[in-house]
Amino acid sequence: MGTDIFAVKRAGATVVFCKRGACKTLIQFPFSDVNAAQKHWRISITSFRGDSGAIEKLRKLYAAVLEEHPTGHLHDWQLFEGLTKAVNDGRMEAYELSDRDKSFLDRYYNSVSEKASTFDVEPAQVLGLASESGFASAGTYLVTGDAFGMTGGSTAHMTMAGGVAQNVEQFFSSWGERIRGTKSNTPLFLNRLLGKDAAGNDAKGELKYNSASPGWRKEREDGINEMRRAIPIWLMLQGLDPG
Amino acid sequence: MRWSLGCFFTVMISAAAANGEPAPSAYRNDEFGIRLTIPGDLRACVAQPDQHDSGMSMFFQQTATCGEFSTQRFVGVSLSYNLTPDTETLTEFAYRTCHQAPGIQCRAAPNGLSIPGAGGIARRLDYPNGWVDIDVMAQAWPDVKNDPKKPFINYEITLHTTPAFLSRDLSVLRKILRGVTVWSPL
Repeated sequence: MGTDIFAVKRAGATVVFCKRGACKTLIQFPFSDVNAAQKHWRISITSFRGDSGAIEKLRKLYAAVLEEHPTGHLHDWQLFEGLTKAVNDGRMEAYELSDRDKSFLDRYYNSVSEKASTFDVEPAQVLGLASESGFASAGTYLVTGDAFGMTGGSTAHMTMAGGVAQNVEQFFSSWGERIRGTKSNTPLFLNRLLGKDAAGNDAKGELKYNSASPGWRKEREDGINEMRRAIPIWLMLQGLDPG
Repeated sequence: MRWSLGCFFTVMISAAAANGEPAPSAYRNDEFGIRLTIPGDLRACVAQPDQHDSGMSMFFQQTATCGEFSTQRFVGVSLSYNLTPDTETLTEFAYRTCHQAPGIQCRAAPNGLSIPGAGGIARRLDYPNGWVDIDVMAQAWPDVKNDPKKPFINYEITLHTTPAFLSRDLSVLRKILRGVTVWSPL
């Protein structure tokens, strides 16, 4: 649960299949037949959840695609069969990009992505840290403009950000070297932030991103996984290839 | 409530010592809406000045190292926003907690564990290395900005201990839970 997604998009009605953060385009419909009333032309999570009608609709659409383009889709078709079965069996849930995630990625993705490539780290890991601020929607963020949870409870150490670019710059200035080269290795990424070595042992004297909340690691893992689900869909909405 | 610079700081307040016992103190977090009393004989670790306050921990040993959670007995408070399908409902929140590391055996927790004002669900987690968690989870306050049908704040209060200390430490967890107050910070 939680690592697989698929989504449908207008302009080619694309179904994307992701497993453990790695996504591939599963089906590209040559026409749009998803609910036009849905924002972003997506099939809503409620229509997929336990609703065999929506799955059947996709199946028919794909059959029509096969009729138009009879070659080259066999592998995708087999994957699609597995996908629909998993959803119908309740082993997998559809995932919908929330307005909150979309708004956050609209503002932060490009700045973070650019800096992350410089530091050789997957953007989703940095963006996932912003679960500290409800993805730039709540709590201290509303006062400070710091989405990444660098803000403490003292005015003497308050991280104030004048805007997204400054906030991203602050994060990489403070923590960029620590996370450099962690790529998509989330345990290593979080260990570095927590001042631990690769094995998870405390490295003495290192600053810690958090030293008080025992749930911090799990919560940031969830934030990172959320971004790994959201980013491919957000990229599709921008007309970019999530692959 | 409109946020201002003065309203979300962590507050730890020491009470006056009485009859020779260590003084209890209080932890308060206005961002997530929680207050609790810290027993005087526990070592409290709260967020450092440059860390976002998303919870705290109370260690049974005064010599404990803050942030070192795997090998020390403690009661911890973890506060987060409910942002992902992994924790969307209380059942999913508990499932996620039970599967946070490989090899955990998850089962019902002792009776009567909940967060006052928020209710919740409790689980016992047995780790392969012998450590035991008693995890009390709750969700509260509608996510008015995104989906009012969903709760926006996750509360998690965890006892991390060993089987030998479980009975004794569980009574401390119960005492701490009785002293918790939550309110809507939104």
